Amino acid sequence: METINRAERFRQRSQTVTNLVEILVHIVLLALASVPILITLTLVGILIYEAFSFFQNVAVDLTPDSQTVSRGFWAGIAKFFSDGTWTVGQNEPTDEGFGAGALVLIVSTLIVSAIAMAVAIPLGLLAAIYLSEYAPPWLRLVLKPALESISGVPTVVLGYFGFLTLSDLLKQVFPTIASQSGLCAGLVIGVFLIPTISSLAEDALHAVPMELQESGYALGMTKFEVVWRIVVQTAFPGIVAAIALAASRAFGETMIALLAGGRGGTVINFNPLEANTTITTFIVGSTDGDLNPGSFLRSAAFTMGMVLFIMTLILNSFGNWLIRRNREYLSSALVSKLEVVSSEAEAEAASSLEDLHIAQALPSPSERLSFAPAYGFRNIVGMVFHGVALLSTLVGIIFLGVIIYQNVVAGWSYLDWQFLTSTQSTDPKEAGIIVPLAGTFWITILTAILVIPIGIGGAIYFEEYMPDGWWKRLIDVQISNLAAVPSIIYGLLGLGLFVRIQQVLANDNQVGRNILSAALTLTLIVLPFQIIATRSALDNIPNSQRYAAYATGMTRWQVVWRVLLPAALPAITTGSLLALTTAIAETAALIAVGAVASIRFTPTGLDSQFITLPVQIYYWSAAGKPFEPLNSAAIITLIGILVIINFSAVFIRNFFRLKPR
Amino acid sequence: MTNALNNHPVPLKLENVTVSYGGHVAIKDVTMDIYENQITAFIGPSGCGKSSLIRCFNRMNDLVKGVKVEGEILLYGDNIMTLNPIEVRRRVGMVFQRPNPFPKSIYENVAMGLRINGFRGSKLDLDEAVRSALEQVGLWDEVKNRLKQNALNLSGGQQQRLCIARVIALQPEIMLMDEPCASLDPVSSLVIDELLTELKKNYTVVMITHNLQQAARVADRVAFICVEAHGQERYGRLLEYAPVTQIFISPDHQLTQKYVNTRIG
Repeated sequence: METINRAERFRQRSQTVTNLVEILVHIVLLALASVPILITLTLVGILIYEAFSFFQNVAVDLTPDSQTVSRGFWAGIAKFFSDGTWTVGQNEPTDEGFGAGALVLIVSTLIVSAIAMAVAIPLGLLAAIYLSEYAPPWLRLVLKPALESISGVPTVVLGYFGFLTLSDLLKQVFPTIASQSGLCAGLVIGVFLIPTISSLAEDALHAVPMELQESGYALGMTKFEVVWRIVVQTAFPGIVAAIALAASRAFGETMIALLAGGRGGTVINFNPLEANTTITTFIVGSTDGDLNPGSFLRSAAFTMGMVLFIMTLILNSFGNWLIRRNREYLSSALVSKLEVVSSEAEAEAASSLEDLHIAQALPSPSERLSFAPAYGFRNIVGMVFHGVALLSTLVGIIFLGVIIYQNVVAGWSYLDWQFLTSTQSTDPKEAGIIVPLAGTFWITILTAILVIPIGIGGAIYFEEYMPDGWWKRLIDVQISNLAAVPSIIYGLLGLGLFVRIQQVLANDNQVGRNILSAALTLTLIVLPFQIIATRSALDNIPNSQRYAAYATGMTRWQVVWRVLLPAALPAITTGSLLALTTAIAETAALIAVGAVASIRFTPTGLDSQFITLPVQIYYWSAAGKPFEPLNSAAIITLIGILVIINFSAVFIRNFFRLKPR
Repeated sequence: MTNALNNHPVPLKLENVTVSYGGHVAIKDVTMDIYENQITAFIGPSGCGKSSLIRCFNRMNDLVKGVKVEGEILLYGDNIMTLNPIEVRRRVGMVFQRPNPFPKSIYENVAMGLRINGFRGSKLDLDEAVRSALEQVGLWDEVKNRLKQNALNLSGGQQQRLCIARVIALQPEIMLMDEPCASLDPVSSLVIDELLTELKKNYTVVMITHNLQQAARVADRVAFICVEAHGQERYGRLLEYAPVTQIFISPDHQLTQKYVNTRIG
């Protein structure tokens, strides 16, 4: 009797405690999950605020006594969309010949993006077809990661290659081409986007049901005919989605556009052989100037940021919507239609049974159809296509190989202990990368400390706690949108939020461009990837695990903590490492936040000035011939770090996969 | 009766056909003749290798890794392994278990096979060929006003008849049907049966079915495949191949009788 009482008391007490823990955990997770929404709201708020101030001040009249009179918001908007010149940053709205026509930047952005897409669409699509339909498994195992590693190369490295090497090659074809040109930037961005298109398109091709291909073969189609007429056409919406998502990345690409494409031109310019100022290059370029709060240049940079934000948002929403719709469409195609049996339908079926009149006799053998032979031309077409697809797959890989080879040849002999441990110097022989290395190290660790708990907590909330509904779908869409926002826009947000808060707190506009702001900004960039990776890790755990856990009487948090997180840990670790490589490679956002070109001291605290390895590569890119081998050595170091992290991620995943659960 | 059948031309002749997947035999030593303008039904328990066997007839097994086909399959006297697989598949059409129309218009579903295979004729001829194929499956009146609509909007039974029309349009010498009614409701399935008996006037049909009533209703000859076990190995064997009446009324083998009776009763 007594034992029963004790047992009851015990259970009751522990239940109160677990309930309390449960509520507490729920609140904490909810708070973490609301971070992405707060980011979105803050971003939109700051962009609108700055854009409003820009439009109010951009159109002015000078009264006879030289007093400036603003013509107001609507006049500003009209000027923004109708001016044919753009001189923001070179002169002021009160100056003669001042132009603020967004079209100048938008046209350049579209031209560079169009060139990029002209490269990326055919090569990416053919690579996807080759990898998914033609490549033997062993070759696919080699080619696919090789191709996809292009998107892991820091864009500052690709841009430097365009600036240094590709522009010289282009000069031999187009003698009049500028040393930095829209064409060069477009080509490099195009190669950079090949894996974006190929991996998304490959998903779409994979989703085409095998049954459709079989029925194609059963009709006597060649492989090429099945691939081209059935697989590609069925996957078409998914392919369009891949193109839309890639185009939005082309709009937002900053470092390649800056290094290979340059800046210049104040009028609408359709000539890709000249330097083009795209939206992103204007934003990152303007961070050299007076970006203090309230300055006109600052509000112009934020306004162009808003234009870019809207352009990418539209393309992304369209692409994601298309992918979702296509997935539903294809899965519905595989499920037989549920037939609603009405008396009408039954009558129809019965009547069709009765008057099933079978056609007139078939044509006699002499009138029989004649068919083109299945060999000859049809086979040649197929073989040519096969070859072209293989070559397209190799283009990106060869490009990447050339970049690595070139930098290793140029920089290997400089890559020694002295180089790794010396500070910056104007003498190339003495210069080293200890300061940017330390900066990268500090900022990455700090970012990891911030992003991992927020990302995992948020993902747990979305995946395990949040009730289904339109709200959840909205957040789903918003997170994938955040992942696609160009990093330069996060750079602006970091400047407008983290730097600004520190300035207000210290009441000093010279502070705030420090390690803390850099890490917080990178947290914004990495967070969506961290959330997506964690969610997919949780999503991959079979529901039977959850049922089993709940059936033993666990609370929700106990299920998460004791069953789901341990099971998802390898995948989460892998995802976190890969997400952090994004932070390590980031350049543009850190330039915007205020990386400093020449500091000689390693960081000492959160308020230290900073530079990171990719930012150093950017500054050295313009430092002239003597620094070229140094830059190559820095590039090898950066790529080496990224490769090591990637391999550890893959190793962790494979190690745990082999272990029996 | 048997003699009369033997005078039929033999579009498909099997000599000791054995199919194996990566060393595991699926069905062994099948020797049989399939006669023109008849419906030949394969029956037998699941996993006995029926599908593996008929997928050899149009060389669909070429597409599966690790499949080995031994023995000879003669299509009007030619060994199909010496013919071009594309040509074989045009001459030997196939209808699958689940309706699998292409996610294109109804018209395009039928016309595509013709175009691909180099249909020689004008747009009008093509229209005519599509109409004729749809008429032969009794679908024309139901869809003639919506030929441009997506084929996925059709009901399951209509989709399956469309898939048959797609095959008919190519005027195949043989039509293979792998459980064509397995995923259909009874009414749609009856429509297909009706259609099959009409189709055999012009075509040679080889079908797999688990529905013995269907076999009894439409087939001229029935092949019963059983599973034999030899130690660890289990594979299918052609146990009995005879006119439909013999299989269902007085089969030679007890196993056949058992299979036919337990299932039908």
